[in-house]
Amino acid sequence: MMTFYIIGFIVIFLLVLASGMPVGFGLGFLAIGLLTCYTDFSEATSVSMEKVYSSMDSSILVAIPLFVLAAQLIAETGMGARLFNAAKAFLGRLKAGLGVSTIISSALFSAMTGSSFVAASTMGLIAIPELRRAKYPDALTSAAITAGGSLGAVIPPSLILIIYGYLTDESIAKLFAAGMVPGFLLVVLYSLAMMLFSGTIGKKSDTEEEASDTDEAPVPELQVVELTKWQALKEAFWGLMAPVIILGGIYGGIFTATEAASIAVVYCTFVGFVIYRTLDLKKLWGILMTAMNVSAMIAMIVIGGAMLGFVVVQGHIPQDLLAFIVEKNFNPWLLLFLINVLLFILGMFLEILALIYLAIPLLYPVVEHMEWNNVWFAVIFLLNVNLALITPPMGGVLFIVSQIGGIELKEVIKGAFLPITIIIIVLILTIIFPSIATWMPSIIN
Amino acid sequence: METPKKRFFIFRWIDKLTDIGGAIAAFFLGVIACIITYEVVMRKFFNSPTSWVGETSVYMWMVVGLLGAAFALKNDSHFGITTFIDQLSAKNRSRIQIVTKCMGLIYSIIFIFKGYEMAVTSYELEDISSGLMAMPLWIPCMMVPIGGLLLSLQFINKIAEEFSD
Repeated sequence: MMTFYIIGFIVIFLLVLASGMPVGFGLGFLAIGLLTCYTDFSEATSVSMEKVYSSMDSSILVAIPLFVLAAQLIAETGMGARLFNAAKAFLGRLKAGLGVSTIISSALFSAMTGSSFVAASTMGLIAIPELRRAKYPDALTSAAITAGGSLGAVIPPSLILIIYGYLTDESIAKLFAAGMVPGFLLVVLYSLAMMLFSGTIGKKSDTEEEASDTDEAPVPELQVVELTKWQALKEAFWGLMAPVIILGGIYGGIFTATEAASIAVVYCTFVGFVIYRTLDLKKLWGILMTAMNVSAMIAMIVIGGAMLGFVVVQGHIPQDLLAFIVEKNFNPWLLLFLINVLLFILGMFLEILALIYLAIPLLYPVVEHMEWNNVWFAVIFLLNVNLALITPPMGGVLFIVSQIGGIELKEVIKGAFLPITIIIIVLILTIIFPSIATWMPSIIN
Repeated sequence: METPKKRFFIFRWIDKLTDIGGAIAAFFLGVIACIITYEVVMRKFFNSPTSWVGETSVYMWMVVGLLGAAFALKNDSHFGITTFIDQLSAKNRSRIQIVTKCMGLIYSIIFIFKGYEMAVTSYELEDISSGLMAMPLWIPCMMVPIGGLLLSLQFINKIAEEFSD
């Protein structure tokens, strides 16, 4: 009976999402509909409105629009391009140096902002033309950008971890710390993989040759220039200071994640106006509007997700699921394996915020029951979310790379298999050696 | 993008109103960053933490989310999974779009009426926030119906657009 409910629920859920309805509205509409089945319409809508208010009433979530804004600022002020230049100046000579530079600068970018989408689109705009010029095949170019983009969610600060912490009442600083080692592992493995596949550089397939003849330079070029190491480092210095301030501040106990985000915004605005002189008031207003646009979209998902989460709990689905697990007395490893498979499959089809709001209310009781370390599970969950970003058919980052790079989606997906494989390796390592996730938080305490 | 058709004046007004909502939301987003930084500076350097920043920033985030939502709708920025419906013929896709937008409209209308009801209840009960600010809670509650109103208007706009195409 229980399985029937859950499967029915998931089917309706997927149907609503597949209709192309904006995710936030879809979640909320579905929630009010289901709640009406339990009670009546008037009651259901009243309760839902309370959820609208209470879901937004959180100082943790204020970090979301601020980190989105900071990311826009870093992209628009040219901080991101300067980071890429610096990485290129140091690593350019290396085998697959540009690819590795893309990974490293994405990692630095990710240490200032928490969004994979912004990381992928910013680094894509900067690095794709460069990688093209260096005759990287489209698949390897996509591999570099999707890999770099996926770091956005792992390396702290991370919007996903902020929401995870908010939903499970876990310390954000601890969660951020937990993302560090896996993030570092990913950077190392991505870079090694870039070198491993450097043999394919310069060998374009016939179809790509034709394609590149027809649509030459579909991407605007950002300020990518050749610099000496010293010049590049000097240029990138202010950008490199941003992660130091953000992460140093959070771990020095000077400020919270939300405050760190604010300071990042003010810092980047200052650098943009005074030091790089790439900002003016008109541009700043445009950046504010873009960031507001993205934040409002996230807010609607937060609201709809909170409503749906409430309905899921009201419908006793997590409780039933837990009872089922207790009754069957699953082997913990088997259970963990099943959860990962489930998350992987859901991730292929779901938008990541929808995945979080669907999965956390269901899984968190299981985590508590099994007495799993919540920080450890958060990292496992995070890596799965990361896979969701880049697994076809519905991986948000894939579409971004295809769109801004003018690369065929088929090639992007081919390239994405490299980061997918590596994330799965890190995921398995984290499951076998929980200290990958729990070591850093334990040091920081 | 095709050239914008001359649209009925009401729809142009709706777009104007949405833009104003978006501008207010963007302005508040900037203000949030400033006041939180101010709070950190006051606390760390002058040892005098403020009593109002934490709370105010949350209310402003509600403004950003709820007033900005219609603007994001106008720009089609609300993320939806369109992979499946993109496979359909233009006519069928348009039909599904109209259905999902009507669902969105109903959802937003609930925000107006039920959100207003919530704000009125809060006003009558004289609910105030638990923080030092003692903010009357009906003020942030009003963001729900106002946001809902902007969203509803914008959904009507979008549905009309779908019909005119």
